[in-house]
Amino acid sequence: MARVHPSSAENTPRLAPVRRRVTLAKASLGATGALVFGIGMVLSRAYYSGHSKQAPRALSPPADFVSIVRANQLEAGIIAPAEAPLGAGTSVS
Amino acid sequence: MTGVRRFRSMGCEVVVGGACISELEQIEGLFDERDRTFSRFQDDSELARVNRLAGRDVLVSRPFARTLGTALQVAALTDGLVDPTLGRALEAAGYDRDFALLEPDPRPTGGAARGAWRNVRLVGQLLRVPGDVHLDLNGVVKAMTVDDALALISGDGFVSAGGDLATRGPLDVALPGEDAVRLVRGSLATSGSAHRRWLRGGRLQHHLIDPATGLPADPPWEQVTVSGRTCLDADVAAKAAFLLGADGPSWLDEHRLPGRFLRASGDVVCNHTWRASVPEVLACT
Repeated sequence: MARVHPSSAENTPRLAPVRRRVTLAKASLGATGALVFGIGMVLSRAYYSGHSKQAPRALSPPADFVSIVRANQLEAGIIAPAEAPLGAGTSVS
Repeated sequence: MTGVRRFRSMGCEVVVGGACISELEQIEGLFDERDRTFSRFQDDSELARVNRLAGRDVLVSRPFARTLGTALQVAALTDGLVDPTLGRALEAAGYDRDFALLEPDPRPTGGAARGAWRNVRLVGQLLRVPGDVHLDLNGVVKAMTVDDALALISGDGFVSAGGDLATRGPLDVALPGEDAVRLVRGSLATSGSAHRRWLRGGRLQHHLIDPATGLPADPPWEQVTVSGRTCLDADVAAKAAFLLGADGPSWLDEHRLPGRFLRASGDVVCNHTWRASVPEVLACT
C-alpha cells in the first residue's frame, strides 16, 4: 500500500511546538547533567578520602619541631674544673 | 698513656697522646691523606680540581662527598653561618696560599663573595658547584679528622690540631687567656681571629668570614672556646658563636653547649652552661 506523505506546509504548524519541547528537553537534560556533575565534583572533593581537601603544599615539618631537632643536633662535651698538670692546650684554629 | 707525639699537617701543629707507634703512623697517614684531598693550596688536590671545574658537573670521591655532605648539613644547622662556599671570599681577603707563606700585601682586597651553600647540588657523588663559587672545607675537615684520629687510638688518649681537641679519658686543657679546664669527655674547640690573621691592603684580615657580607667578621670576641661531644660539634658551635657576636653566648645556651668568650682586652665571658660546669671560674662574667 502506498504511503501518503503530508506536505511540509501542512506539517509546519504541528511540528513547531514539538521541536520546541524537544529543544527544551535537551537543554534541561544537559543543564541537569552539568549540575549533577558539578555537585558530584564538589562533594567528592569535600568528602571522598582519595581527593585532596585543600591546595597542595610542600611537605615540611613544623617550625618548633625543627628548632628542637636543631638544638639537639649539637651535643655538649663534659667539662669540669682543672685538677692536674695540663696535658694539652686549645689555641685557635 | 704512651708519650706525646707532634707533627705538622693542615697548616697547624698536630699533637697526639696515648697512641702506640702503629696508631701514630695511621693517624699521621690520615691527616696527610685528608690534607692532600682537601687542601685549597695544592693544585693536585681533589678540592682544587672541584674548584677549577666550578659550574660543571663533577664526579667526586666517596670521602669528598661524605665530607661535603657533612659541611652542607652544618650550614643548614647553623642557618648558613658556617658555610663551605667561602673559598673566594678568603682568596679576596688575601688567604690564597698556605698560611705560613702569607706576607703583608699592600694591594687592596678583592670583591666580597657571599656564602652560597644553598646553590651547591650534591647527589650521591655527583656534584655541581655554581660557577662563581669556590669551596673551602678546611674547618669541617680538620674537626672531622681529629674525631676520626681519636677513633684510631685503642685506649685513653687525645688528638689536638690547631685549636681542635678530642679526648678519651679526662684531660686538663690550657685555655686562651691563661686559664684551664678539665675535659672529662668529648672535645674542645677554639675559633677566633687571634692567630690566623694577616695584613692586606693595610688592614688586618682573618679567616673567619661573615657569610652575609663575604668579609672577615668583626665580632666583639677574639677567641671562642666551646665543648662538644665531638670535635665537629665543638668546632661548628665555636665558629657560629664567634660569628654571631654578642648573641653567641645565648645561642650556645639554647643548644646547651658550654662556651667561653675571650675579648681582645683579655676579659672573659662564659655562658650559663659553662658556668654551670665550671662554677668556680672567677674570671668569667
